[in-house]
Amino acid sequence: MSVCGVAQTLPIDLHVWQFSIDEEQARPLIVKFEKKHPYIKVHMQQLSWDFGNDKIITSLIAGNAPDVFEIGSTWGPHFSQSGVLKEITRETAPYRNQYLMWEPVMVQDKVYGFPWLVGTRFLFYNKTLFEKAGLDPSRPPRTWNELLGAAQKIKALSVDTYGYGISVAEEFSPWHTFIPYLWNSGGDVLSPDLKTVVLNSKPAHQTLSFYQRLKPYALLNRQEQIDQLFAAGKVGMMLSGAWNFKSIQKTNSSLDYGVSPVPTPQPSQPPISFGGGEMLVILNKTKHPKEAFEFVRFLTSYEIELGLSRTQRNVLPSLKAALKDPFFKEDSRMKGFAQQMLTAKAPPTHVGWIKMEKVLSSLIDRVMLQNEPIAKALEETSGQVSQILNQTQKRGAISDERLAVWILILLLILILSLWLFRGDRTARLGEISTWVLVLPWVGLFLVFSLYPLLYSLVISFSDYNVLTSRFSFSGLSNYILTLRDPEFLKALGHTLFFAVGTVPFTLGISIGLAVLIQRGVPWKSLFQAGFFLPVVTSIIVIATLFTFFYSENGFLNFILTAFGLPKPNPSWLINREWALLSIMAMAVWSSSGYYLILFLAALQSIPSSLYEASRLDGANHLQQFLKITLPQLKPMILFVVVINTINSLQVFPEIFTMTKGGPARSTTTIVYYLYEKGFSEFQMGTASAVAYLLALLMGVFAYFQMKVLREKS
Amino acid sequence: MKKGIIFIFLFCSLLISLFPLYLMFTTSLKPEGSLLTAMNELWPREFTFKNYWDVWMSGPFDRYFLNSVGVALVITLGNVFLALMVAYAFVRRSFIGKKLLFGTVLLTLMMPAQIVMVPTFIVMKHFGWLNTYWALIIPSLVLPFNIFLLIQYLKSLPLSLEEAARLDGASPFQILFKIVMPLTKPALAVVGINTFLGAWNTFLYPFLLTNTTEMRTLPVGLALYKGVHGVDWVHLMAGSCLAAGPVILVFLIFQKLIIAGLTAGAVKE
Repeated sequence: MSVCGVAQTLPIDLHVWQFSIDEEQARPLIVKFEKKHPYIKVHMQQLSWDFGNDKIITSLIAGNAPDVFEIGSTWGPHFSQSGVLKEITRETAPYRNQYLMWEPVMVQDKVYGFPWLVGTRFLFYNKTLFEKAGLDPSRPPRTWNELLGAAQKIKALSVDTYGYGISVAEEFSPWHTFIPYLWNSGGDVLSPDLKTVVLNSKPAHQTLSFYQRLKPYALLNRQEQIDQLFAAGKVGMMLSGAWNFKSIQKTNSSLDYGVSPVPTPQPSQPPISFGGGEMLVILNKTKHPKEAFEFVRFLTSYEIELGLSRTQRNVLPSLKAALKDPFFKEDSRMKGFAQQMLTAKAPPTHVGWIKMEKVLSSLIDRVMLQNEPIAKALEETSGQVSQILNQTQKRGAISDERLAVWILILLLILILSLWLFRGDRTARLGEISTWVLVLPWVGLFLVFSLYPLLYSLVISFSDYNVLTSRFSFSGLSNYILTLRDPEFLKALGHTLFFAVGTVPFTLGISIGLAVLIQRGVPWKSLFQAGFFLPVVTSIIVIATLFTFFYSENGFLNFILTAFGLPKPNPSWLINREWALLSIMAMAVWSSSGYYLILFLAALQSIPSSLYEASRLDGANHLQQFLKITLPQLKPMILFVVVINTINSLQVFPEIFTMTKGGPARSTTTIVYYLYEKGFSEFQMGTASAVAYLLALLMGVFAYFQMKVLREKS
Repeated sequence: MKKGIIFIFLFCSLLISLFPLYLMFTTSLKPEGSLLTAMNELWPREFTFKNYWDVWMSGPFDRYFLNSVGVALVITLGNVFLALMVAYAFVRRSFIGKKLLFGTVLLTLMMPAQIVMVPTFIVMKHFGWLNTYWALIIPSLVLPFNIFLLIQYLKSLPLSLEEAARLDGASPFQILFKIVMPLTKPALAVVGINTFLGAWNTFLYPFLLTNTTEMRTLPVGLALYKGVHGVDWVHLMAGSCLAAGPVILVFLIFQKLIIAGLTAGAVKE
């Protein structure tokens, strides 16, 4: 076919999934690579940060994963130990000393990935505020005491200026910005061999009490808010990441700020900071390991790493030589960033770390927001960490012998329910026309509903690790362990609270408004359309909008301040007492319009003759409402109550977008808990068991609702 | 007098209900960088449509848009007809396994999407439907929610008309589509609106099941935009308006039709 007519006529297809390069940006790079390797055809796909990992996991289970993909360093240990990734120890040997951040993709001496773009946390300080407070803007604080002093002076400038920003009330950032201080005071969470918990120690006490001393001068909030207020010139100092370069440039380009390494307890100590980044990994089952590695090497070349760092300005090359490129000398901020990177280190590479980091973040909340004594909070947190450590070392399982008994019981239940649902005793097969009506759906139903349901039912009785696809029956142990898990019970409580607190309001508002509109007011169609509009927007958009609305300097607080009303501190979504209530209020707002339309439709089917007759009998509006409207609406009320309850018990996107279950896990609902189990702890079996427990709960709810509402007539 | 109070009450409720959307729209018009100072301005002092342009130009949004429209339309049509057929069979006919099937419909409603996600993906892979329109359309053609809704509605319809038609010699399908369907218009309007909205806004499945730019729907395109460019409110709100705008527009244009559908079905006895 080609001019040279080599034997290789079929090109090799190489599939690559990544998060870090824009598709537009990637095209010329791929062209370049393909020119050098004409027999390779690269198919690159960009993923979104929100659910990209779900996509990777789903395709891994289905055996459809790409040859090369990108993972965050947090997941390095999970993936490296799973057997999904190709071991590339020998291939990477020549590069080990040239690159940074290998720890996340290493298991003892074996290497399972290649560090690509890296990042770290470092100190940002506002030079203008430094000057105003009488500090030297060319000399950022190097030690904890200097930091405290500077924070105090900046706080003294005005009421709405803060000396320092402490990240709290979420799972992701608080530990990132805390752990550098912990390391610099000589502490850690796990011992170097990852076998014992060393958190409850003197350095940790010291670090937490340093945080407490900082508190009077600090803004306690979520990182996003701190970043925004730093950009607005209200925060003197913060520990944060390089994404701020771009956002400050966008929102307040005149801000005069500098960057410097993390302050340490003693002067002239090497400043250690949190390091992490993006790893490129190769699928173990890939058909083209050589070409895949070739492409990984291409992406990690000096030129490309530096180019990405240069255009994106929020990541650094993992190649040490590239960190010393003249580019990093030109720009003082990129220089500071690159300098801190050289002394950055990765958090413990334990598979349970994903859970431990959450516990660590809530330790900071407990000490800083709930003012718990340090000793108590540290001891309990340490206990939780060692629990996670033990769990992941040997997962409690129920012995295999009992499995047969459980399956028998399950079968009995199944037969019993079949008998209960056996239907009309006189029912025959049914007419042909009936089956014509039903069959298209039955086909779809069997494939896309029943099969997934049975699949997850089987999985729920097994110990199934998504990454390793190791599968073994474990009887009811998933159910039992779940029911015993205090986190699950907490999530259950939040979910029930959410449902019980929203359903009556949604129902009341939607019926009330529907009846009032139906009564006949001017501009009837305006109201019919207007109340429905919020429903038009997707829940993710609404959740984003309300995050904005509820934020510290958002509209809600703006109105409250304007009327001189009190507002909660910390603000709504990061306040343990208010976060769930805020989301509930949003849920009522966003779903009422939807049910309103259902009620409007149902109201049309009430015969007007009923109202006319009662009017002749002299009934007033209230009597008509109680005697005619409500009873006539009953089927629809029943429907709305059942559906709304089911939806409320499944609340997830709101939580995922707005709070990620925080602060201090106060908004963790069952489906959020399930999502964490399945997609960040990789225990699909447990996640499925949780789903069935939830379905059982909904079934019980629906049953009693139908019973109660039917009997009332 | 009384009507006046009701009107004022409804009007105030409407303002509260629409306010967040208003905030979304005005924020999307504020120039980049002005947000920290202009965050709580009720009306932006400076206007710009640049945010919309930025989002639109960041990828083949016209393609995303067409994909979304096509997929949502087919799903909506499928649900209006197929769900009605199924609901009608459930309400008016008896057949073997009816109660069991109904029980499982309820069960599917109760299963969180996160759980059926993995097996669904596996099915799609076996059918070779990954990254095709089939994967985006077929599983949503008859949604259990719509069946459930139509069952509730059909139950309240009088049998008399159908029986009269049967005595006149109408076939089962003539009865369904000529007699029952017109009577079900209000409920079908609701099914239509909700299905279209649901299909238009859905993100997770299209994201999981598609792999190339040409197959993406609008929500997927917007999520990727957000991913690469980081969160900044003005662009985020512009993107949200881009997604919500067409549906609001369609709804406003067809509002009369839909409301007419809602009232036309009124049963007068």
